[in-house]
Amino acid sequence: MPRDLTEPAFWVLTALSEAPRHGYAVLGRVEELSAGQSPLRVTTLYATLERLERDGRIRVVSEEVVDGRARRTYEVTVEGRQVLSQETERLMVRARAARASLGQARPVWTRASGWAHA
Amino acid sequence: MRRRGAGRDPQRLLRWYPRAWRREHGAVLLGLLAEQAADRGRGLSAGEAWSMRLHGIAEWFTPRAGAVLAVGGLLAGLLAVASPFAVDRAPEDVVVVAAAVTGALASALTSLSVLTLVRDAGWTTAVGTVVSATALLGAWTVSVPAGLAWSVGFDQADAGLPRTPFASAWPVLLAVAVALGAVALAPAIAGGLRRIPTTAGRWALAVACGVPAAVLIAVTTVAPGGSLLVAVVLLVLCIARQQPGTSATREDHQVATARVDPPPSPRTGDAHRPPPAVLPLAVVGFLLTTPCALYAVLGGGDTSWTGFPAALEALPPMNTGLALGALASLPLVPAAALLVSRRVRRGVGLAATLVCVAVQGQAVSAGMGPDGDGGFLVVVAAGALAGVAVVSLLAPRLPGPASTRRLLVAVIGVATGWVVGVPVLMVGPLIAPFIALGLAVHVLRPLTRRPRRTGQPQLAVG
Repeated sequence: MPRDLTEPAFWVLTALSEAPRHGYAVLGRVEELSAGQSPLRVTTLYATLERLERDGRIRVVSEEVVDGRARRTYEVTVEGRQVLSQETERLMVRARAARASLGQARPVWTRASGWAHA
Repeated sequence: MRRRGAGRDPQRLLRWYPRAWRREHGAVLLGLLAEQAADRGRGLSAGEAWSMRLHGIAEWFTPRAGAVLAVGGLLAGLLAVASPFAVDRAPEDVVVVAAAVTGALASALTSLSVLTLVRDAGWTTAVGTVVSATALLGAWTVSVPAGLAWSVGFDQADAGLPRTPFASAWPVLLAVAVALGAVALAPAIAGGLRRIPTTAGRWALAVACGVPAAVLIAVTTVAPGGSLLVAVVLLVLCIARQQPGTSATREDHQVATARVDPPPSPRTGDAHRPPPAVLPLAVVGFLLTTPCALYAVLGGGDTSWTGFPAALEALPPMNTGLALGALASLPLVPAAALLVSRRVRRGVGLAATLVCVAVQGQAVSAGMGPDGDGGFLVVVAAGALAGVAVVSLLAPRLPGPASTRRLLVAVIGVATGWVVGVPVLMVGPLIAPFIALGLAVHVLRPLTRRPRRTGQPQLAVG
């Protein structure tokens, strides 16, 4: 049974589903994609990458040494894409429900912002 | 004088991680940190250094460590069970304290073993793991004085003496232990409730569930046998969860995955069919054990219809029925062994022989009668033997070299025999007819099942 995605795992899979990336590139891309809303620590990123790899959702493409630093590049697997797709669908169902509820809300008057949907 | 910032040196912080982890991931993690430091123009912050320490500690909580903790819990649990028997050789107070300490130690080690599985399932973060582990140790430490205070208070009340401050403190100590237990459980429960969208709701429910769960765990661990059983189950789960080659390097993994396994041999119908000797053995076992069980249960009345010799009525009926029932159930052992041999290739014959000896031991024990000295010791020895026999079938799946595996089989086998083997052997003659029926039904079921449709199109003939 597939496990639920944690927020870091969701962002890492999203970053890797665009293209294979090494760890630090994933970190930068997650910060861009989440508009700085979900900053990852290196430790959290690495723990997330390790778990996703163990669960077969991503895999290591290559290992190299650049400027004396070890780098490991990852790519998303078919299973990882499926999990991300399911999670996206789940979030969209929620978002659609919330949007529909907001659309039905009656407008109310507040002193600060005037008429607004409650 | 300590150099400022030395505590934030990634090389030094990496030592918080297990050696096997460092070997496989250390260089890449250091490379990542070096890239970040070069990009930002500064090293790790204090928060990042602490994060590294916590992640390092959490990495120790692997299923392999869980198996070791479960064995430790098992040994401590056996000590807790055995300590009351030392009451004749040591002061009573020492025995009571020893039982409380070993019991709490067993529970603490077992709980930490559970935590390794919870972490392996991805239900807790690194921080949650360390918080849970710390709170668990605190909870079980406080549980020792809480239990002793209750015991002292009970004795004082029994003797009509006024309660000392220590004895009166047991509710407070128990409350502290339960609160710490709830703190320990909350991260895991919250992890399991990830579907609840709001963080506050998730944690409120986790704490609400954590308090009664902590009380329940505290109550169940009072029974030492229960703690042993939990440790045995955890050991099996931790071994099953161990991934092949966890301590191996990445290159080893690649080589291992690149190796092409031979294609599985096509399964024929014969491979699914149970060995033909199982059914007659089960039928014979049923016919022999049923009158024994009836005699044991109804021995006080007119039992001539069961076919038992009248001379046996001079003996205690229950014991006679149990002793003969144990011997009558012997055909069921090879029947079960034949079924097991389809899945386990090696050691089934030896294990079945040992179980047969254990069953005969139960027959001797029952034959010694309710007043027979040493009857219980015989059945305990028989239960341990049966436990070792059954657990020996799992030996190839246990970790470590052959000597370690043999030791594990002995320890787990004796514990399993104590917790499961002894009760099963004692009621075995009574439940043997049902076991025989179960075996017969299991054998006959595939013969009556309709063949599955393959889904392939049928060719028209003619």
